[in-house]
Amino acid sequence: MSGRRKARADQTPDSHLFPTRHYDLVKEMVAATVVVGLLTVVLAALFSSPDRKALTMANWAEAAPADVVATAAAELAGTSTSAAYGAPYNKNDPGQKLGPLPLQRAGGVGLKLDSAADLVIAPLSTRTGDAPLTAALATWKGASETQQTTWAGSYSDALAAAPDGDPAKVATGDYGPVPVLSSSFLTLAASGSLEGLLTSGTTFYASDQTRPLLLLADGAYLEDQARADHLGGDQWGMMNETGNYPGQPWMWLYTFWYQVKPFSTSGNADALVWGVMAVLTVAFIFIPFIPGVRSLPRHLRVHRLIWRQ
Amino acid sequence: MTTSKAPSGSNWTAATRERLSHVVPPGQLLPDRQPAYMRSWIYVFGVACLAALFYVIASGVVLAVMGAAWWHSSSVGHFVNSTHLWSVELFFMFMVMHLWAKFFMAAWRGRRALTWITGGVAFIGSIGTAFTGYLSQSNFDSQWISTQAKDGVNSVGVGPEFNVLNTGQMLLLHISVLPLLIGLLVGLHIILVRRHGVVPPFDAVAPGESR
Amino acid sequence: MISAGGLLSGHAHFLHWGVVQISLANLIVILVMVAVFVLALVLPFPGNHDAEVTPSGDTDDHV
Repeated sequence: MSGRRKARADQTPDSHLFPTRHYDLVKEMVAATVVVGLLTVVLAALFSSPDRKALTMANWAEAAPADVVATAAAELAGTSTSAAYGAPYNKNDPGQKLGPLPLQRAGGVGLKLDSAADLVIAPLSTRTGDAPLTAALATWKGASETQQTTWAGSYSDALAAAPDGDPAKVATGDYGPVPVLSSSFLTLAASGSLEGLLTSGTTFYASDQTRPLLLLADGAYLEDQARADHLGGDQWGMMNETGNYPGQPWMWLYTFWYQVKPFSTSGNADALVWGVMAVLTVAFIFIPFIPGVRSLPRHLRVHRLIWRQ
Repeated sequence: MTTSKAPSGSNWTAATRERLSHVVPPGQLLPDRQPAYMRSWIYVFGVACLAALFYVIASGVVLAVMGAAWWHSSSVGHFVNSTHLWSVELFFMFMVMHLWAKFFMAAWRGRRALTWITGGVAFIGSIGTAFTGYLSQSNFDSQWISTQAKDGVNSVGVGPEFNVLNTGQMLLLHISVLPLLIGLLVGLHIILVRRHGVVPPFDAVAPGESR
Repeated sequence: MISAGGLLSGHAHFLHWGVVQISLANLIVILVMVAVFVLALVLPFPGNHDAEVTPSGDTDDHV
């Protein structure tokens, strides 16, 4: 493309000045509706749709009890993902930045959560008739924050060091009430009432699953199950679906960045990928105004197949 | 008489009617003729995409009427959910093919930039709408997608306003606000196509004109 | 819960090329799209209605 051509205004003639032929748009629409309708029904009948059941806390407790215990301890220690997340749940991390911009923190703590208190202590506190638990809760609530963190942190480390993370094989140490709290938490999860306590604990109608989902995501079980189906972030998971179903192929570029450096090794990966995709999306939408890109179709000459006369 | 010859500046209704009548050239809203240079199967993907959207909405309405959990326990419900899934897959397939075609034709030429822009924004908006749909499945997929996506949303500071873990919020967005926005964008996009007509070939010369 | 059993409920198959991983199902969708697109480009559009083509007389609808 010469500079001269770039400076010239778009000289595309008015399409209404050209010779025309008869065409039936409504017939075309009806035909498309019938064909697409048939395709839809046939595909639905042949292939159905995936519906992998939601994991329940009871599922988690049964399949990975050590993980539940370890997660409870981590919540109490303030080392779980949600506890150390930062905005919008708390202020315990500065959060991700896009270059110099601390966007995550700027969003504010709008979904306040105290992981230890809200995800573990509050549901446990609803249990009655369990004397050891009641005593453990009293000990916990009466201790200083530093003492609580020391107990829970030590117990978390001990669990990690135990064979298979098995609470029964943990080395002896000073863990305060944390072992009782954690094992009671496992019992609570296994009972099937934990989700309810976390969503509708203070309200009759529950439509917000923030707390049980954060708890579930703090454990390893959810991710293990997802990774088995190639749904992990570094497995191009954003494009995939459970089972053998097609997923979201249109997410290919969004998920691509997570597979390569510097994004794959960056603590700011999410913000960086958003930034890159925001720029690319704006560029895509404004292609008509981008010199070079807007002239590409002419040179690619696929149009010669479309307009063959 | 429902109209008068009053100066349009003083009558808002007349002025609006006057304005609206020029949005699309006379006879071009539903013409029964089209430019002779349109002679390729490549032009069917837009209308196919629109047809798929009808089924997305229709199946979505049935799912909404029967309730969010219906499809988990009813085989008819599961089938309707399957038509919703496959019409969405077809919607995206045809939309992307329509995008490819329009790119290769540089269909933004001839003052059609806004047509491209509305289509592009509708594409991005559709991805967002589908995303809230995935979050509304109330199954394992929703659990995983929400807990993953929250990191992306939170990282740029919009987590409090758009809480992907809040199923109530996501479902309501999916069945009301977002489809309305997509519908508006698609409507605008189609009106623009009818307004400007389908783009002529590169270097085409209209009869009687010279380059 | 109605079982989602069916042709596609089995374990997924994945293909790998270096950093790229794609499910067979997604790959098939993309290949079908490309194939249909190419067919749309090369298949002749029906109708030999050149006799019907009339020069446009509309000059007052330019917007």
